Amino acid sequence: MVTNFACLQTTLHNFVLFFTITFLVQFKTHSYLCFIKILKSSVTLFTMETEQKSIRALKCEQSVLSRADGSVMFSQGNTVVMASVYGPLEAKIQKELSDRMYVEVNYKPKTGMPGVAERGKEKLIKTTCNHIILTNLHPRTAVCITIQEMQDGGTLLSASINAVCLALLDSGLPLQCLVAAVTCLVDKKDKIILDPCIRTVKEGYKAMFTFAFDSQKYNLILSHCEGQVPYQLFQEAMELCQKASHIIFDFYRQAVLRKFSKELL
Amino acid sequence: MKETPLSICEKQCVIQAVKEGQRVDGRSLAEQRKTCITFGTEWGCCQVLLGNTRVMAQVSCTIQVPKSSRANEGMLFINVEMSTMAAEHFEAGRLGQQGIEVNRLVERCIKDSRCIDLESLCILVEEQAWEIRVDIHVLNHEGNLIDAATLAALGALCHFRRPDVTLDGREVIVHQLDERDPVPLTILHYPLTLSFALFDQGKIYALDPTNLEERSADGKLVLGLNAYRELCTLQISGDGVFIRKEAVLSCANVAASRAVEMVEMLKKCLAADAAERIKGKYDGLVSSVALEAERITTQSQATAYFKTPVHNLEENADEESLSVPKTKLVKDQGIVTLETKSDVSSSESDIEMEPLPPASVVKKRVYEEIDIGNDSEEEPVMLITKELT
Repeated sequence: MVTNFACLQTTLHNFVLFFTITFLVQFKTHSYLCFIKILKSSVTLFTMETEQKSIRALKCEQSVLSRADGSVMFSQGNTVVMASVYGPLEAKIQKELSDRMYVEVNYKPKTGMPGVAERGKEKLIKTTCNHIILTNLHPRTAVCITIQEMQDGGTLLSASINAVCLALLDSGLPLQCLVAAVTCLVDKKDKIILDPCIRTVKEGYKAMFTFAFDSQKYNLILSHCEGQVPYQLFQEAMELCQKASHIIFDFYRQAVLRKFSKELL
Repeated sequence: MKETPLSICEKQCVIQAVKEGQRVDGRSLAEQRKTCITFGTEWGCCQVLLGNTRVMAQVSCTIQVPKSSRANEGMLFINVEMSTMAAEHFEAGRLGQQGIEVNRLVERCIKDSRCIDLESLCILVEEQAWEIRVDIHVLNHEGNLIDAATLAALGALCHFRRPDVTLDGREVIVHQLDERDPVPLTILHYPLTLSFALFDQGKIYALDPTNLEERSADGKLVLGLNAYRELCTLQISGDGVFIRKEAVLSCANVAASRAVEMVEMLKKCLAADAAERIKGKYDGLVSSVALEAERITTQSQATAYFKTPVHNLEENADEESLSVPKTKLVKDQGIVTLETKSDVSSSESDIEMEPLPPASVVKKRVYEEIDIGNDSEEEPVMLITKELT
């Protein structure tokens, strides 16, 4: 297992160690068997009785905005985000890159001005987008991605990444692969909860993880962790999220099918 | 990025159409686009769709020290956000000329008309008062941002509930939302704005202009009215537009009746939202994301821009394929039969169209079987069964 840490930020905040590790270079996780049954039309799959091991219902509407090149209104459970993509555009001189496309990401909170937390999210989404868009196909141009938070039902980061992926699909920009992000948290009893709702998040947790996987080999693209847990749990959470990401990829397929076909309706 | 320039051709098309009393999207001059109001799970979240224009407003509150000049009043702050999401020429975090205009007009309509009772927001004179903040996010700019923004802001303010407070001596206790029922704001009246685009030196005016109309118009008249038909904002902008006073009055009359309808609609939406909340399992904006099977996304965008009048299409289609004045579609086990009646004079048809004179083409086509290339499995055959005289 080869890991390259591109950026490692460590901040001491409220006596809890928050650490953010962004893997720019993919690394292979353990291979394992995939248990997911892909049902024909339903989105929420494999619900186990003991713990919440499914992700909440996914819903999306592509091309919601008439002006943007690609746009989507995406909901995951009660979380609703809207993402729009403009591009390739003419880049500003100071932002222009001679060999690839410049990716600009704006994350807009619902209330107030964007602060440090929003900038952090922007950065995470930007690195993910840089990875999935074939940026070297459009040198000296820019792509402008805007994400608007519309309803907070927990897991805004993963919903934003998924919405951005759908918006990019809608815009028709050439992509290397798709990306699906899944959030899970470790509660105070060391139980892993997949795709937690806002109430669970507010109850408090030991650690929260957000992972993003690519659609080709389900390799890890992004990992964002906060809190403190043993490595074993981290590994377990990652594998669980990897399994759950299949549902999201399946959902993408359905969304695209729906967009391009009238017969299925 | 710069805004896509408007061609002279497009501009002249809009102006010519308006002069003939028509509009590009098929509306009449005093007709508004379809308005849709939805609310979120959080208190004070309102999304407004005005045709394709989409605006979302969110109200929040904090406890602040009141202004020394108005020590017994709370504060109301209105903030308009325009990002690249709405249009390519908007920049995130920086309001342009247009943004400032929208912000100021919403402020004038809602804040300066004193529709919110600010005195009720005071907790302790000179010490603590609620500051209400309205964030208006423009999501899609397809014209008439001002009306959409004001409606969203008003909707959000009506929907908003602030946490209840009690005083223990001079100590303020703020009760959490689950602890005590939150308190709605005191709204004294419901002001809304209605905009008219002015054409032909203010002689012609079109209600609720689209982006295309806004850009080709000479000027704009914005009227702020409440449900009691009282005027609270008025602005005429544009380069050297002269408008007759009778025109302003007639605009105000049209706007007043529309404002009453809109406020009624808003109240209905608020009541429906409250009823949904009581039922429980409320998911807010999720329901405004179209259901998977409900919408063909590629089509919704294509038809939005130019809408051709429906009756023209029907006429043309009929002329080409049949040239028969009365047609009736009968579906029978995959075979679509077009029954035509010989009686030309009777007018019971479902499809509205002008009766065509029985031409020679009609006679030719009688008893002809026309196969129509259709994608469906059974290859429907079109038959004209009855003879025409």
